Amino acid sequence: MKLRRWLIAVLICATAVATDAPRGTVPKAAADRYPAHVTQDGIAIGATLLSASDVRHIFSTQVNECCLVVEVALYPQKDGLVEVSWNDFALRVVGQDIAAKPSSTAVIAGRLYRQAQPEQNPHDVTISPTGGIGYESGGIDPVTGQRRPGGVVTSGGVGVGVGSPSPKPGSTEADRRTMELELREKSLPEGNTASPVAGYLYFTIPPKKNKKYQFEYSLNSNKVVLPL
Amino acid sequence: MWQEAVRNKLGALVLVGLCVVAGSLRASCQSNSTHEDGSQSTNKTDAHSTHADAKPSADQPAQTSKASAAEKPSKGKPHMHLGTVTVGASYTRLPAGLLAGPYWGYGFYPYDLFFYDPFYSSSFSEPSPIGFVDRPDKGEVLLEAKPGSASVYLNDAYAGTAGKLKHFWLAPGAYDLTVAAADGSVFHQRIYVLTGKSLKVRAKFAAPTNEQ
Repeated sequence: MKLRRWLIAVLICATAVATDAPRGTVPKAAADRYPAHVTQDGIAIGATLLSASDVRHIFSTQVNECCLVVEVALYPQKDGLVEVSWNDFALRVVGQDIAAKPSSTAVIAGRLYRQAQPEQNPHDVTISPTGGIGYESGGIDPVTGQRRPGGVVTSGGVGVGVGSPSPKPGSTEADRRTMELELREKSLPEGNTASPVAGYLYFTIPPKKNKKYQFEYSLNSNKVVLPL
Repeated sequence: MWQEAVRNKLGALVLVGLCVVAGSLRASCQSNSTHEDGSQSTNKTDAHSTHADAKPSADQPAQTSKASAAEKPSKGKPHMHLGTVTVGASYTRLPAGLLAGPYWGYGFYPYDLFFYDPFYSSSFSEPSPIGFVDRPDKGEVLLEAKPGSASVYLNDAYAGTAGKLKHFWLAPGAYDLTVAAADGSVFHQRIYVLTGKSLKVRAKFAAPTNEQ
């Protein structure tokens, strides 16, 4: 009986971990379907740098506000195995010495969450003026029983609120969790794989126009460079 | 004679309301950027459960310090913001002897028929019958699916028909959205709802599989 309970508990935990794990994206039919691709040691690699509009279409999270997103696909050779690790990837601005490793989804979600925090003081005052004008034709007042003449009725008022009017997208704790979940689920899955695998990697490099990037992958102590 | 009586009765039913919202000028105006479904759906079948969490990398000192300076929240004196400006107008014609409800003499009572009360539908109350009030703690989903009789499921729970769920609000989080048409074709997408953001989902049905 105890064993059965333990098995159920383990099954629940395994399900929770599995649903929380990166799922990645569907790999394209072949690596050459990606704008940048190369084959080395029997492993084909395809990569593409997502544009800002691509990111807006693919993600609810406004990840392009802080990061560059690269879609990566790895195709192991037949009966082969490849170990996928984020640590093997890097993105470099062409002509610069510094290369960026992929950032963790928790870090990016936290950063976007912090950026979305309202800059207003909690003691800010919001004023909402209202005004109205109406015309009535008149009638019998049920309270006094007398005929009440019609005429123009006007009114005005001011609503005063203290504090921030409404949260911005991504500014609540629930948003932070959701952003992290989305980024993690769509990220490149890590670990050993024998089948093609694809997903996104996030690099904390502010997007800039007219910059050229190169994507680097360390494969068996050899560096593979893909110009994006 | 009778025409006048009918006209008076009809006049009692005529309420012309004109409401002009000059604009919500709040400083923290929400961005309602939408994004379509496109390639948002992820591959469930290719799930890899080998590693749950990504490892953080700490190799960007220059960018991080620059960003943290920019992200520092402004602390200072309280500011004054102009909120929603509301202007209303109405016309009421009632025949002699008819008054709908007690007259309170104050323009701001919500049930006063003689005056359109802007407060009643402004952002001070919710939900608004006119629709000026947003849901500050929820995200909006705009679902476009044909036919309207298709069933909509959220996290495998029936939510209603596509015709009635063209527009709905959800708490922030990830949801499995499924739209099933009567002919067996199904659309599935995992959606991520964020506070104050509109998410546009266009359901493209996959052809039903003919299993023997």
